[in-house]
This record gives sequence, C-alpha cells and structure tokens, in this order.
Amino acid sequence: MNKYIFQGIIFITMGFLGISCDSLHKFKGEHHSLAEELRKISVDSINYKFDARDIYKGNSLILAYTSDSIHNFYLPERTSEITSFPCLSCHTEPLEDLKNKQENGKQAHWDIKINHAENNVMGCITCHDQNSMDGLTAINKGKITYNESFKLCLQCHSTQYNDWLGGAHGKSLGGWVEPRIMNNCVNCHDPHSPAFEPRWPARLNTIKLKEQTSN
Amino acid sequence: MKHPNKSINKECSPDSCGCQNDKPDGFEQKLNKPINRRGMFQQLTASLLTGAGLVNSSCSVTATDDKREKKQLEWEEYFKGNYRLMSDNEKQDTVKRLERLYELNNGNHASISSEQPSENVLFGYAFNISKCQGYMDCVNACVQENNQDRNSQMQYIRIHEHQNGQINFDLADDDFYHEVPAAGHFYIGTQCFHCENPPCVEVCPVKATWKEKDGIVVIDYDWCIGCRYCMAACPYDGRRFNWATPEIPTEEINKDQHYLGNRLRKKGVMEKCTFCIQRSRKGNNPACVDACPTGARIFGNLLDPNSEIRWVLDNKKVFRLKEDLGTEPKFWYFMD
Amino acid sequence: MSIIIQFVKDGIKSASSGNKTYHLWMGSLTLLMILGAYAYSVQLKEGLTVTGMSDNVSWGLYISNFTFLVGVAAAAVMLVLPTYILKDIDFSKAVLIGEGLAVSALVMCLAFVTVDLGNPAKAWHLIPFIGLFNWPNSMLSWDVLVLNGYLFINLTIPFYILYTKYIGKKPNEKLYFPGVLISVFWAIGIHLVTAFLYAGLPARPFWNSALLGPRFLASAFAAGPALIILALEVIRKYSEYKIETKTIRKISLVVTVAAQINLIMLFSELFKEFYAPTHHSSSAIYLFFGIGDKTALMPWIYTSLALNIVATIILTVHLLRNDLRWMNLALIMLFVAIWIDKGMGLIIPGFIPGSYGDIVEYFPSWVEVFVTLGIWAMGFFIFSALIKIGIPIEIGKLRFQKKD
Repeated sequence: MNKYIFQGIIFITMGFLGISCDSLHKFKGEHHSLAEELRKISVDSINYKFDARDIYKGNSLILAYTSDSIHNFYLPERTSEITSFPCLSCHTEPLEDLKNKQENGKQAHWDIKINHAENNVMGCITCHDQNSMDGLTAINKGKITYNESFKLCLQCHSTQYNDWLGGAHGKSLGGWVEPRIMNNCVNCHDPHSPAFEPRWPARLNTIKLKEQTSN
Repeated sequence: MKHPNKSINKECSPDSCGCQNDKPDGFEQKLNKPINRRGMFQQLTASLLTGAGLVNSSCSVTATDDKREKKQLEWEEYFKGNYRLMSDNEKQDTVKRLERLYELNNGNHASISSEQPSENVLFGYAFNISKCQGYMDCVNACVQENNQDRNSQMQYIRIHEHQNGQINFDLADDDFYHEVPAAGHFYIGTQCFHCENPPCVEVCPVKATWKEKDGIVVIDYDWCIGCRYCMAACPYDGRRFNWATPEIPTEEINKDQHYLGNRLRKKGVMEKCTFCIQRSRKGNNPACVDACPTGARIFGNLLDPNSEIRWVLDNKKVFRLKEDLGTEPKFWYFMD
Repeated sequence: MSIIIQFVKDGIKSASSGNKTYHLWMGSLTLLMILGAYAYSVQLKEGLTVTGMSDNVSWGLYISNFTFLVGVAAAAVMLVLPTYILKDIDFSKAVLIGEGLAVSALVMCLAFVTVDLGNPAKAWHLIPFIGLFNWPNSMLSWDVLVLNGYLFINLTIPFYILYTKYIGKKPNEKLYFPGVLISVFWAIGIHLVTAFLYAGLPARPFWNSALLGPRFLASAFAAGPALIILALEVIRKYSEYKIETKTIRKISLVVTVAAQINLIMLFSELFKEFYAPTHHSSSAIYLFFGIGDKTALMPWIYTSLALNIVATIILTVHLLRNDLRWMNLALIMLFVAIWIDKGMGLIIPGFIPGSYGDIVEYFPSWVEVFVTLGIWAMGFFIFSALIKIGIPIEIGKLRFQKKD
C-alpha cells in the first residue's frame, strides 16, 4: 500500500516541477539591473523607419547649433511667430529718443510686465539689443538671434539648459525618432514672465468622486 | 519570487515572445490546410448554429445584404485565432474584416493598423515629478486618443496629489479639483508601466495578453475571456475592465487605430495603456507625452544610447514604484 | 450498450420520483435556478456592470463562492482516504455521498467561474489544443485542468461502482483502486492550486502568504465533511439508507481536528499582521478595524470569527460533540463561518485598499445574489438527484431487470 502512496507523491511532485522548471531561469545568475542590461544591449546608429520631421506639425524648422550637444537638433522657427517682427520696422530711432518722445502718451509694449528676476537685476535691454532691435544681446555683448534665443537663457539657467540638451527638460515635438525636434525655451516660457501660472485641472473625475462620497 | 535578472534578450527571444516562428493559427488556416482542431470545432458548432443563423437571415424580410455580410464577418471573427500566432496574411485579413465591420456599424471608415514592432526598439518612459503640476491634460488626451468608454469615465492615467514631505500613495488624493499646483503638494502620474517581468502576462490563462518585442504589453481584445486575473495580478492598477459596453459619441471616435491599441472594444474585456501603440509604432510620441504642457513626460527607445530616455536614465537619479516586486517596470521617475 | 441506456433511464426515473417533500424540495430549487438564470440573463445583456464589482474590487461573490466550493469538493477525499486505503468499514457508506457532494461542488465551481467571465462566449479559448492554454505559467490554467480532472475522476469511480452493482456484480477493486489513489492526491492538489492562484500574486500582500495553501486545506477539511455530516443526517432521517451514528461521530472527529488546526493558523496569521504591522497589513487592518469610515467588512469578519471559535469549542468538548444536536449546531456554525471567511474575509479584502491605497468598498448586487443562489440551488439539485440514484442501488433496491 505504501508503494502506491509513494508513487502518488512522486506524481504530484512531478506536476509541480513543471512550473518550477519553467520559472527556473528567473533565479539563475546574479542580480542585474534593467538599466545595466540596457547599456549592454544598446545599438549604435539605429536606422529608423520614420523621420521626426514628417511627424512634426507646425512652423518651419531651423537647425540649432550648439557647441556641447552630441547631436544637432531642430527648433521651430521663431521670428515668424513674433507679431511685429522685424522690430526695426518701428524702431528706426535709438531707444532713448523714443522714450523722450512718448513721455506723456501711452507707451508701446505697455502690456508687457516683466516678472523675471528682480527689477534692479533685469530690464528690457538686459536681453534686447538696444543698438539693433532685431536681435538679442548676451552678457558679453555678443549677438544672439531670436531663433536661437536659448543661448540667451543658458547664460543663467545652465542646469536647465543641460537637461534640455540631454532630454530631461523641455518638450519633444516630433515623436521619439530621429532627428530631435525640441521646443525652444520661449515656446513654453514667456520670457518676460517665465513661471507657469496655477490653473484649474483639465477635468474632474465625477464618477470617482461620487464613489468616494457615497461610500 | 520574480528576480530582476531576466535578460531582455532572453525575454524577447522568438520562443518566449512568439513574435517570430509563428505557428499557423486562426481562421485563415482552415482555408489553407485541410482541417485543424479549431476548424473542426468551428465546423462542429457551425452545424449547430448556422441552421439557426440561416433561418434567421433568409426568412426575415428585413435582413438586408449588409446585415448578412455583418453576420458573416462576425462569424469569421468569432473563430479567428490569437493575434500573436497569426501569420501576416491572417493579420491583414482580420484587419480588413474589422475595418469593414466598423464601416457597417458606424457608416464611416476607420483605418486599423497591424504595424509590427521595429527592430532595435524597446520603449521606455520617464516621468519628471518636479515638473508635473497636476493639470490633467494628459488624461484628456489619452481618453480621446484611445477611444475609452465615456460613460464610466475610464482612464488609463491616474494623477496622485501628494503632500510635501512623503511619497505615500495611501495618503495621496487622486480626485483633486482645485487650482493646481496646490501649495505644499506635488504630483505623480501612474499608468501601465509595461514591466519587463509583467505579472499580468504570466497569469493570463489564455495568453490573451503578452509583451511585444518592442516592450509594449498588449491585449488581444478578441481573445480575452474577461476573467480579470491580470487585474488582480497587477501591482500598479494598470489595467481596466469594460464592465459595460463602452460608449463613445461617433464624432469623437479616433479613426486612426491599431489592432492592439485603440480600436473599439466590446464589453467584458480588459484594456490598458499601450504607449499609444498606434502612434508609437509610427515614430510618434504617446498622446500623454504630446499633451503634457510641462514636459514632465519623456518617451523613447531604450536601446538607442542617443535617445532622451537614455539620457535621463544615465544622468538623473531615477527610481521606480514597488521595485521590490521584481516586475522591472520600464517607467522611471526622476526629479530635476 | 442497451444496459447503459437502461441504467440512465432507471437513474432518471429514480431521481424524478419521490414523496411530496422531495418534490417540494426539488421544485423550490428549480424556482431558485430559474430566478438565477433570469439574473444571469440580465448580466449577459448589460455586462458585469450590474454586479457590485468595480475596477478596484474586481472579484466578488462569484469567485468567493468558487474558492469555498473547491474546498468542499476537495473534502470528499476525507472520506475516500480511510475507506479505501485504511479499509475502514465505517466510512464506506458515506463515501458515495461524499463523492456525490464533490461532483455537485465541482459543477458549482465551474458555474461560478463561468458566470464571472466577462466574455463567456469566448470561453472556448480555455479548452486545451482548441484554444490557447497558458500552461504551466498561469495558475488559473492549472485550476481548469485539475478541476475538470477531479470532476472526471469523481464521476467515473462512483459510476463504475454503481453500475457494476446495478448489473448485480461486485466492483473489481484492481480496476478502481488506482483511480481512488489518484483522486486522494488530486483532491489536495485542487485546493492547493486554488490557494496558489491567490498566493502567487505579490501584488496582493494579503494573499501572498505561504500559509494560504495549508489554511485552505484545513478550512476545507472542516467545512466539507461538516456538510457531509449534515447531508448524512438528512439522508438518515428521510431514507432507508442506514448510516450508523458511529460513522457520523468518526467524521465529526475529522471536522474537529481540521477546525482546531484552522484556528491555530488563523491566530498565527493575526499575530503576523498585528504584532508588527507593516504596509502589507493594511488589508487586515481594513478587514478587522476598518480604515477611516470604511468599515463594511467588520460585521462579516467578526461574525465569522465568533462562529468559528464557538463551533470549535463545542466540537472540542467531547460531552457536547457527542450530543448530536449540539454537534449539528456547531457544524452549521462552522460551515457558515468558513463560507464568510473565504469570501468577505479573504477574496474581498485582498483588493482593499487598492494598489495605490484607494479604498472602494464592495457589496454584492441583487444580480450577484440571485445568480449565486441559483448556482447553489443547482448544486443541491444535482446532489439530491445523485443521492436519489445512488442510494437505491447501494441498498439493492434498484437493479437491472431484463425486459420480458
């Protein structure tokens, strides 16, 4: 009789071995993190079937040149977005002369409130080139175009700039395939008031709320 | 139980993934081969059911050609095989049937893609906790993109409002409705994390859910039997069930669809985030990434050392949720 | 072949004839089944939205009953084991009843799983070779296999024994004994597999415990034989089938030991959850104390706990257990206690709090209640019919008679 019982036990054990054999590979070897694994199986220069420029919908693109980026990437063209560009169509005289003329009347650009750093640190001409209004000016008086305005921002916001170059900051526009198409800083941040304003969320989950209150 | 040492290579090998070496299966097989098990089963039941069906459609005066065609298509759909075992031809056939059925039901055309995973692509996702402000634009975009049931307000994404000082989901508010970001709070979004070791896939009794070669965990809506075991097995609340027939206003239906993605679902089956497979397989970002106004969401190819997602993993201090479970989510969190 | 047809005919005839009480009993069961079928038709039409389940609590009354009944089915082994292997004559008369109970419990199990499916039309995907079976990875596919296998064994053995007796022969032990042996191990298997179905989910810490399997067995070997004793008491009273009090006493000893072990395991679980509560104890905290104003499961678990303790005490005290009235009372209490414990005390709290701590409570809807009642009625209906066929053959009343 004991023989039968023994055979029965073997039978059941074999059954469960079925599962364990299958899951054995989970226990083999030492610990590997997924990230470590990824580094090992990475593939350099992948040919993607799709091109980000075909996916991107929006303004024409310009190629951004940076000294420290591994790859060049694209930004949306900016100047066509600015309502009264080129600025020189109005700014024919030096700024000082314009200011004197308009002493009592309503000023141009009256709607622009600067909420960017302290007033005594930054003013209009910290960024705008007062000698040539169609461009921007760097701290070292170097010229920066509106299309590459990120070069102006990176002077102070180097951390954000590095994150942006790498991909941790900012918004990708053309999908995940190459080439990279990124929003310029000013596409998300108003340069005169760069912080995001609080607002209401886009939706309320009424059903979940009902569940919560009824229970 | 599940140790995180399962290599990705191994995971995506043809035999474990079923992406290659497809065994012939499904409806089409019946036409190509003399007979198989499912074919036999189909014919067996057909003899029982077609009798009734024929009487129904031939005797009824109202039965139009459209109705008969619809019945025929539904009949063929009912007996088709599991998507991942289908040959390319079979995939084309079921897509054609589904597109025709959509046309018969809704009166306009929707394109249903069966775009395959690309070589050397493994999708991953990163979420910047410092950036998310709780605006919920991602949730709206997701619902519209993926044709989720509007009645039950089904959503794949949850945004949890945490109080400063702790990451404790028990104390987080998932249903906030006040101006955001609220002072003293931060926001963490969750959705399906497309684990490398997905427990949901392991438990499915009929292999209706699996991990594709590009790492996306998908569901064959037509193969799911609705037992909800995967829902119990998921530690991340990543799966949703159609408790009733999903309803979407016809004009709101996204007609750019994928078989494994946002095509219309029936009642009684599971669904979940697919990283917007209909978009991501074509090089585009998921709808949530596109909609996020703060750039808190980053998506890309983990195998590409030049991708943004890889830069985040290599340069930021990242973490994942419930890492102790060994599920290896491909969804990382980081802070600026 | 014609003998088998005659056997079936006689069986149906025997099952459909009886006194007024029997017809009333079967009639009311049929009524409940019709109500259940109506409720299920509503569920089929509207979807599972008519149940109390939600994305948070995605399994409810159906799966609770399924889990409990797997235990009842497994418990038939409690009677098979001593009868065939240990040659204990006292138990042999109860064995057919036990196997009848196992068959009805298994049919109920399969029915509960089926009504829980969101897409039952595609249930054929579960059939091995025709569908696509995730074996051996999914514990649910194991469960489908072992439950159907167990059903097959428990149908064939009694069928063989009854049939040979029906044609006036003595059953050949060499033929059915291997089957009996397998069924002994199989019974433990079905309940362990069902426990592993839950215990294998790290996502639900409340279930993810090594003790779940053994505790399932202990509680099943208490609840199953308890139901058998109650059935024997009824059969003893209403039929000519002689079952000695000695048999009942012996089975009640099995129930007592199982109930005691179950209680020890319960206390060791409580110790683990509450001595040093961790994040993983939150389901137990919700179950026993509630979280905030969410306390829906507290009445259930305390009822179960109280019934369980009182019943075990009654059974443990010889003086009380030997008094059949006290014993029957204790068995009913134990049965109810374990039924609550498997559902409202195990399946439901496993989902609460949810993955991210959200607490959505569960209460079964009328559809669920009626479908559940209907399936229970179906189980009792099958059990009664099987007993009605088995007993006349066992006592020699029903035998094959050549026509003319």
